[in-house]
Amino acid sequence: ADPEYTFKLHHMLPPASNAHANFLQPWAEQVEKDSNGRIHIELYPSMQLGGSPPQLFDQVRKGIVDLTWTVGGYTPGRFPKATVFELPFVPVNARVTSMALQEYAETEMQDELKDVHLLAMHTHFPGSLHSREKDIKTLEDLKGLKVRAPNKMLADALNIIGANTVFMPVPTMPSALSKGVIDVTALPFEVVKPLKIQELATHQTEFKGDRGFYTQFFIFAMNKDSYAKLPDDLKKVIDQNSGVPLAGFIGDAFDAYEVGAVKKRLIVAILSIPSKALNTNIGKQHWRLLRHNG
Amino acid sequence: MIKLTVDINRSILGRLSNLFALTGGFIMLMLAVITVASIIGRTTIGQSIEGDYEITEMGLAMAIFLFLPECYIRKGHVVVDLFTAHCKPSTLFKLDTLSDLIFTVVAFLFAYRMSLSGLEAKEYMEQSMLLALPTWWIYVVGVVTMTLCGMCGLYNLFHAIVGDKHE
Amino acid sequence: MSNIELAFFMMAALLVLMSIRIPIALTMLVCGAVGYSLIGGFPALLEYLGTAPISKFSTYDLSVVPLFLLMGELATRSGITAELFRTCNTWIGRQRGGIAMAAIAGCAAFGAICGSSLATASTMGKVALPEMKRLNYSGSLAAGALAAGGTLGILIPPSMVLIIFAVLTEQNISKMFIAAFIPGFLAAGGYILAIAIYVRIYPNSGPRGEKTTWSQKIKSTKDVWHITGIFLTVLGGIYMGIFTPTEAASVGVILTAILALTHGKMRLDGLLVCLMRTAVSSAMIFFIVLGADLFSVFIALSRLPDLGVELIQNSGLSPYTILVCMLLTYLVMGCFLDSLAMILLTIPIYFPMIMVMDFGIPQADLGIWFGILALIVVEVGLITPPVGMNVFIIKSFDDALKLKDCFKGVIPFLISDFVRVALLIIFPGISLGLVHLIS
Ligand code: NA
Ligand code: NA
Repeated sequence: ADPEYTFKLHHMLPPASNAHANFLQPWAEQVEKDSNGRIHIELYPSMQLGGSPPQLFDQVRKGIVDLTWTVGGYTPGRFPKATVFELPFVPVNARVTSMALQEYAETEMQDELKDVHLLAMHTHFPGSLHSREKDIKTLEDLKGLKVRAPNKMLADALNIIGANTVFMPVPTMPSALSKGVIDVTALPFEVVKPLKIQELATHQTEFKGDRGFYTQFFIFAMNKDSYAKLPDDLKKVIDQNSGVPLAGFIGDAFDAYEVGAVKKRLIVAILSIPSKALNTNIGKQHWRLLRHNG
Repeated sequence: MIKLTVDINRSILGRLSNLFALTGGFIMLMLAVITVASIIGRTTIGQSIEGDYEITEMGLAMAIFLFLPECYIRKGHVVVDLFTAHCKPSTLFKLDTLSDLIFTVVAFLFAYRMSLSGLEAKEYMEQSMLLALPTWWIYVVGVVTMTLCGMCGLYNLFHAIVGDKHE
Repeated sequence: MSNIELAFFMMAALLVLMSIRIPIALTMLVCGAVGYSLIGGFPALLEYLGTAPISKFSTYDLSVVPLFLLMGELATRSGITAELFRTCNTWIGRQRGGIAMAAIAGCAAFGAICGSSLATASTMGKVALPEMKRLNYSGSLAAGALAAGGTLGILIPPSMVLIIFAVLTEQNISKMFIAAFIPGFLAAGGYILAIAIYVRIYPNSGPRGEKTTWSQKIKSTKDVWHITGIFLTVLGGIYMGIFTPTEAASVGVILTAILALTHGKMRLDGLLVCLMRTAVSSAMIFFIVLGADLFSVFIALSRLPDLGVELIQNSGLSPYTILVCMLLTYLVMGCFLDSLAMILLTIPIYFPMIMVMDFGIPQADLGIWFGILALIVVEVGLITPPVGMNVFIIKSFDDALKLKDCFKGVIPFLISDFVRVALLIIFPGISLGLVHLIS
């Protein structure tokens, strides 16, 4: 039979990406199965429905699309509370960090997320540093280098230790790396593989210890009205496929992908004193920001 | 051929469009200067201009908006004249008036919707990544230029209806 | 009416509106908007309209379009490019069709620093069209050569379409560029050959110029050392890794502006004229980008591409037949959509299908090979009727040109394109050989 409800899921990555293939598609299939085909989810990868990645959250908020999966850091200043999870040396693996973030979102972030029906927030596996020429063994090695930062938080952190931070769109990065427009980029291996960054930046640095270098937070959300118009039994299907368990499931997908990553010339660096100083420095700034925002 | 007896280029709307286009052009020149300075900076002293990418993106958007009214009054938009090559001037005039009408509606619709989106961008403090430049400024430029486009469209429509454009 | 039927209906409506002189950008906006609101709802359309102009106009990679247009204006207005053409004329003007050939060579050279077909067609068109007219070239040949030459902006790396393709399909951008090199220069060679044959059949279309002596040739070459210098700086800068192809546009503009002010004796009023003309051309291109975006969003919403895939998959045809079918769909779509929109719509669907078919090519090479083929066919769309962006641009420079004649003039270059695609399908080594050699 024809589905009773058809929802559009819009996101920015290509169909071959980890996100699309390993959790958005499976999630959609699971919802369709649990609803006995009464809900149908149409996936629109690669920004096919227009706009730019920073607009995805607004698209779902306004109901241009029913569902979206997007990077929180693309809209700086919009989710100040979640940026705790962007602090350097905070994340563990993707599963644990994601579940913690989702719990935090459910209890602490209602005001910031009140305009959407949140399915799950999560993070990627902690990112590493990818350098063209120089081995990065301590954070001091970054001094004076041109580093592409993934978000404002890490840009501020890297600035403090004397790196020259640059922000550019992800697709521009490979050519920028090959031309030396940037020397170093901070990325999870999940992005390294599809963009073949390991061929351009062969010196890879991970950080020793039980905490990863940094992570980004993601929001998987549904339009409020799209959710509200569902009958109770179908609302339950959505509820079963969201929350902390979904965050854990997505985290697993990122962790599993990390295990299979290509690591060409991996250095495990040791946390040094300035990095701890950096942590507290940024930390102070961050709590100021939190207080400022209420 | 249709001869224009009322020339929009000489009207106040036309002058304003000229001024906007020049401003946009100087913005593009500035962007080129900033990019070159950034390249020189990073190859000599290892320091590029912070946020050069986002400056380029925001400047580009503003410049393009500022270019739009000039493009309209100079009839810069491409048309297919393959099938209308043998039409009477009066038919062509009617078709062009239809285009002016569509353009006017589209321009005002963009202006109206972008003003709402711009207010929202201000409310949510939308900003660029590194420099935290507020993005609602671009919406202001967009709304003003789209409104000017719409007014130029109205001007052309008015003179088409009054008939003083028709030879 | 189903969504698929709606998609076909709107394509037809697009054609009708275009054929009654409604500007292309407006027809795409109107048809896209009607289709979008019928599937996605009117409120969603209104929201889209509020943000789409800014997200489309603030695309970093598109900043090259106004910059290269400005560079072309500066070079044209200050007489620098006229000198370049005089030099070309003294060298090969004696040849039938020589200036058209030189224009192709110029497009290829410009394409090697610029990633956009529209910018290449505009810049070279502005420079070469008046020269060809002055030398009594037929409008058909002049417009055809320049419109086709413009596609070299994309066919010869760096190339915006290739960058988008590589990102969508997770291919290595540098390898894609290397793979595009030989096919790109084959394209330039093929176009020059097409001109040579054309002027043999229609000798009056590209008349011989005056005879020149060796001393004249050498003397004229001395006049163009500075523009050659700019060209080499930009090209060298890109390939030696000093700046990115996008940044090269800024370098080119600044250097050309300095040259125009010092050598070309340009004054402030000249600069203002350049800025105004750049404004008009840029706005025209970006307005079309905006319209094309809305229309392609509507096509994606209609799920028409999915239907196409199903039809192909259930057909039981051989890989090569399917490949040719796919390439043919680009030709059909090229009638309506711009190249970037086509790539964005189809690659997410076509690419996975290609990757599971057996062409006897290793998996790692298959994606690159298909990318180059798709690139060429997508670019052909820029010069085919009824909507051929490059042809429109060339036509817009000269009101005396008839669109019918322009499209007629494109035919020899289309034939050259088809021959090249066939060669690339039969001999994958043309694109892959250099990749293997370098890596
Ligand atoms: Na190119
Ligand atoms: Na076409």
